[in-house]
Amino acid sequence: MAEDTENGNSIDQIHEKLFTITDEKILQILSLIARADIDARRIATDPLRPRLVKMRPNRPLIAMRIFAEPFEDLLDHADRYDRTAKRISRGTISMAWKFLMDTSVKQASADIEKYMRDVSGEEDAGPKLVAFWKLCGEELDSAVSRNPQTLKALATMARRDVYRQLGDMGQLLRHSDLQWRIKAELPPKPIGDLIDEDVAVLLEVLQESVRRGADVIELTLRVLMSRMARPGDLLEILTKNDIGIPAQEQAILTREMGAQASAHAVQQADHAAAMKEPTPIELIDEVSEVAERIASLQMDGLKGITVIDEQLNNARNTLRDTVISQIVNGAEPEISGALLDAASMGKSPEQREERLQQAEDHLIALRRAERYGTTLRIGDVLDKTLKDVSGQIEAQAERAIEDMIDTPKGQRDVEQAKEVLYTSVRMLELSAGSARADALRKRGLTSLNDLTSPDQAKPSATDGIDEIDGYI
Amino acid sequence: MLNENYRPTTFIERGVAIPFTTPALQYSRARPADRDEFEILIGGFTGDRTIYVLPIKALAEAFTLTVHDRALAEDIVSSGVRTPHAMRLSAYRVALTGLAGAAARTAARQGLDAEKDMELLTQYLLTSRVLELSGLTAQQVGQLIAAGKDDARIRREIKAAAVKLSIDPEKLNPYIDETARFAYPIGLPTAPVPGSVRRMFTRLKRFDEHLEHFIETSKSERANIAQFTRETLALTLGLTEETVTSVDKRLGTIDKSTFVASNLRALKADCERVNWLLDGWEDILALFYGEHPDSRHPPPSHVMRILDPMFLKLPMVPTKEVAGDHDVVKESPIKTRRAVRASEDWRTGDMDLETVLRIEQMKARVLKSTSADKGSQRG
Repeated sequence: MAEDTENGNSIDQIHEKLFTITDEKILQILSLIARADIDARRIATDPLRPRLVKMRPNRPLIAMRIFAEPFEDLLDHADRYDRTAKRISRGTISMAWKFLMDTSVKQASADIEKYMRDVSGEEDAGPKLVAFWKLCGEELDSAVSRNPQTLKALATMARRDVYRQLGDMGQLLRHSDLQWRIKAELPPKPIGDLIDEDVAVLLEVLQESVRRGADVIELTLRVLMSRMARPGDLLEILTKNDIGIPAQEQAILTREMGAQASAHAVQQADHAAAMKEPTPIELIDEVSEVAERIASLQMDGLKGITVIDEQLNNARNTLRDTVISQIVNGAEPEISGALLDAASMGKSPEQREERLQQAEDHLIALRRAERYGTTLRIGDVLDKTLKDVSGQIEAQAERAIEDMIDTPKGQRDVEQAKEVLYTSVRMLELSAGSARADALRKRGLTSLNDLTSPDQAKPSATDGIDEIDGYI
Repeated sequence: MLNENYRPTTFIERGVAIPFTTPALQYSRARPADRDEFEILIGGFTGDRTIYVLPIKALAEAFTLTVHDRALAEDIVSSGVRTPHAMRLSAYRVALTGLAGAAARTAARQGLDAEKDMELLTQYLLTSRVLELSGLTAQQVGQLIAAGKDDARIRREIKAAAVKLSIDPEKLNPYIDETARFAYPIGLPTAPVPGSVRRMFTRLKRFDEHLEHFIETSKSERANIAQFTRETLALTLGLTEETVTSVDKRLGTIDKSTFVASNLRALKADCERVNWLLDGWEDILALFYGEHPDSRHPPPSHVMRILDPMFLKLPMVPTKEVAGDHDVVKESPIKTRRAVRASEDWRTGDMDLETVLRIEQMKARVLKSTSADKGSQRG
């Protein structure tokens, strides 16, 4: 019984463990869960979600997941941040699915599941999928009205929100041909730079959405906004092109989308700040994603809207503090410590290699943060840090070479010293650019080559195969 | 029309693709110039088909180069890199310093190991072929070779074989070693692990299918670039197949003619020709598939993005090769030059670090592909 209290009470412990058990185990757990009851499944996978995001396992396509595809972009991201504005929650999906299981969707879902299992990679699954989604969309309304008791049990506010969610779901399902086009013809999420072909597809989808109605265009825009790395680019396209809605209405839409996107940015920035012991690269990945969003939303069409300005400022400050506390502070000791280890041959080779890799990652993170120097107003801090780090790297490299010169001839390991030199050069290149780094390489190699005795000269570097004529 | 204008006359004129990491030099090739110098051909610089040519020593003045590229340029000059094979070795040497990052270093280590393994395997198979001439069974040959080169018995057997082939017994081993050294990328047709050339051939065929699929389904006008790529590829694959068949024929049966000087030279020329034919295609595959596994169609939105860079990187088949006049070994200094421009208007701004990192990752994938392929073959 003592064991029970020890293992049973700490959900946190389980969460910690989730990141230490093997991928195979996770897959095993998943395959067990996949066949369970919907709610049980949701409860069971929620704690796994952060790990699944990292693993991206190829889960079996069960019909409910297929059903959810047209609105997956509007789902709550349980792993990233809390409820997003006008989101669709996972709970509502299972509710809707339960309702649909009493309709003709039940048979269709078995068919589509089988079809998706057997379909070859060459075949375009689009038409079959869209047909399935449209059927779901058409059945959804009547299925909901046949189950009044479930919704009546909810509090008024929640009920209203769930109705709104079900309405959005239905719309997205009925217009899933547009969703399919977005996914099949545009780059995967997050969509970065757009090329001409992409813009052409975007405009066609937007124009078609406008033709189909006001709520369709709004939903399409929300889906696209969540798929874009820089949602502002989409709003920019809206202002520059006529998609068939009156200018005034378009301005309102733009503002509304901008407000939603900036609210997202705040949540995302908070998420970045709350990451648990991220590596510098993980953190800068997250920061860049939000910073790109913020930068893209600093556009003319959204200037002077107080809500948006405030939200963007808020997100910017969070990111700034995060970058300074987690990437800038501590960069110097980490990098010079790693180089010191490398030069003094301290610790095991694997540990040295690992530390160097971490130091290099840290430098890369610093340099990547530089790109958002203006957006996040951290240009000066970064400049100073990179300058300090560069000075340190250079000084340490010079010292290592001098030490080598002072070492008695018999004890010198010049090849090892060269390796250390190359490491410093690589680091200096990342922190101060290639010109300064190459100067260090040349200085270092000259000093070290002077130490090399003639019999240690580097082996001939010819092709080898050219020598065949000599044999013939 | 465009292809005719764009085709170099010989492989030497086309130059060897260089794995530079500097973004502006993604479409560059190196070729020997007068007086033991090298020049770099830089494509894609102005966004059109102009190719700039400048001496390799002027490169660092015209561009901000990564340290890796400075070291590579030095190595190209000091090692006298003239062939794709030599370029690969040079790329390994420089990547091993770690100047292009840890991933490239690891990839280079694995790639080099894989190449050495293939060379050894080819050497082994050739030796066993020779020994089989004396009527030994495959098993006996295996035991003999396992005993080592200096074992008295194997020396005796080699001697006997040399007499059968009517060549100097002292020269037989060096002949075998040298043949293995240039033939290992193709490898023997019966080898348990196919040579990198054969694997590349298979991969390129699949690539061709994926291109065809893209063309069929794409509505973009730029699909014609994919079409042009297919035409160039068909030409390349045709010539490669022809040459590999000729190599297979020469090494398929070992007899008195195998180690005759003129035959060995022709064999070497064939092997080099295949290296030239396939030079640069690994980069094309790395571009086309990106981070996607190359067993499946990459998404069209990705393909659309790499069409222009792919076009600029496309290794054109030289006109003389197409005409069947392909004495690559004799061919030397450049007789024909194309657009030579001064470096006046080249901007020397800072490099985009993220682009450099991306390129480094891609290079690591390219360097590693030899060993990765091999792993899957074994597995």
